[in-house]
Amino acid sequence: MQQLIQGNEACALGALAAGCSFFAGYPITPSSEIMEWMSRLLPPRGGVFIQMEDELSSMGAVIGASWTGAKAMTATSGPGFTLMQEHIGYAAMTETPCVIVDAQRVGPSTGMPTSPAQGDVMQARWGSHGDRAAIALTASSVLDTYTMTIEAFNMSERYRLPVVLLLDATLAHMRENVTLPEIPIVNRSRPVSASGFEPFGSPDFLPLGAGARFTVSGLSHDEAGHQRASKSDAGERLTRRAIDRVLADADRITLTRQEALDDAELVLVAYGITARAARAAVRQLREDGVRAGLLELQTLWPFPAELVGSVVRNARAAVVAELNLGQVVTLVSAVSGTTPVHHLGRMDGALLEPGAIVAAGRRVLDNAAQEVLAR
Amino acid sequence: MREPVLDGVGTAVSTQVGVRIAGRGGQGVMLAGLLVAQSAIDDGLEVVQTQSYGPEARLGAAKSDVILSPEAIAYPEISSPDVFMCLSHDAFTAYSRDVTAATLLIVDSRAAAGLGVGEALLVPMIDTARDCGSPIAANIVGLGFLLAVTRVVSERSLRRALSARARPESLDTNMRALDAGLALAAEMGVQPGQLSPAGR
Repeated sequence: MQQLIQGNEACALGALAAGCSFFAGYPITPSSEIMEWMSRLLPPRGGVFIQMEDELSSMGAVIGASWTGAKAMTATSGPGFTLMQEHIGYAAMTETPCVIVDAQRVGPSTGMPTSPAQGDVMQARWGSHGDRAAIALTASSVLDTYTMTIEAFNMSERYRLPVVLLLDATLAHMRENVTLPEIPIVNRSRPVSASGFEPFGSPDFLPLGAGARFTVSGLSHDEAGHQRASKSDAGERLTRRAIDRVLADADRITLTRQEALDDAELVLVAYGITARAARAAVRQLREDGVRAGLLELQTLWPFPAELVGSVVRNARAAVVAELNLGQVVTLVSAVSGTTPVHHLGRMDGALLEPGAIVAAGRRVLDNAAQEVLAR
Repeated sequence: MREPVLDGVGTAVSTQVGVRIAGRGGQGVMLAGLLVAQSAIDDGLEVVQTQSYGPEARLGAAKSDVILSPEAIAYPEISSPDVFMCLSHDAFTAYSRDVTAATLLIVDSRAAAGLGVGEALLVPMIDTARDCGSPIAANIVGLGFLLAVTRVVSERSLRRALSARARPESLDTNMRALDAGLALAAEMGVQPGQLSPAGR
């Protein structure tokens, strides 16, 4: 059935479909409707909804709920996402499955509460101190928001880590006609037996109160949960194992949309809401006889460097379009070889329009041609 | 007054139509956009509805943009609206930057005072809504008028969407407002134009 659904509503519906039974949060534009929907939908289904006093405690509550075995999430925007970083690090350290949705708005600080941005890409990966395993996804449509919320839960359950879903103010508030699909659900695996089970470093998850005693701590610890806070390689060992768990499955985690790339001389790299403009730009350029193609990244972390590199190096030029002053472009440039990469970005609260991307694409192709002539 | 028959918009509308509804926070701009979007879905079209407003809790300028298309919609924003219905002075100032000569302007007659609205259709939406029982039904008067001059969605779908979305206690007022909007277009001698993405 075709329904008219808002991005934030689709996120809440996706969470429910994924089996989410716990939401804690603190309202902030443009993510508040996710919380409103969860407050309405969760309690009648036997779930728990809590409005906390701030974002720090929201993330803490989510981690606690996950350790009871519940699928738990929170939703916020840039300023709240920043406040959550300490506990996102804690979730990584304690291998806690959970989902954090960040509907991005213009920053830094309070910025522009109702205007879209894509400025939290690096924060989604590196916002908490230290090294850690990380997965961050994004979405470019209302339907996507539904499916990627489910993917976020599935990945958090499969790899035992906090997964970030990056939306933006436009998508969060946008409505589209959608038919919600059935999507397979992943549930965290349990150890066969609690006796002798080491609660960390394993994809198996034993919730608290399930027959074993152990400590869940932000201090570096070993597989049994014993604190190893000085002169020990246990912390590094477990962090490496968590990172490897993700990288070993990178092919499965990496989700992209590829359009007209086979013969593309110009590659547009975009993600989230900006991929919509890039798609329109590809069609415009093709109509004008320019062989353009689109690589839309749905998974931002782990960054699919190999795929991006092979696509970009095959082209004469590339444009990275994003609503920030240069984040994903640094990752693309690192793997672009000799292909020139042009960055098109803004952070004034407006979207990048197809026309601007078309113009940037033509410019970078012209420059590339001149460079070849000059050689 | 501009000629409301929209043949001039021609090529653009065969694929995609952009409808902008703007006003002050509290005037039902978002609801009006939702009603257009919901009606379009019932008519079998693809829709994207976006909104824009400032951080004010109320009374700030707000807009709801709806794109209607027989095909999947890539870029979700309107680059230049085909129709712009506006209920307040401030919203016109805030959201008319991308209006072109091809844009059909429908502006509340009071809101238009002192604005350079060019060849707009000046419609007493707020006054008519007051006569129907509530000035806050101005959005629905406007939708009735917009429907009459553009046929951008079908009347049947719009009535169904309104029945589904309006509060039961205000449904009568809203239906009266919709009828009043349709009647205003007839009284003003405005011919129904065709601005239909489905080519109805």
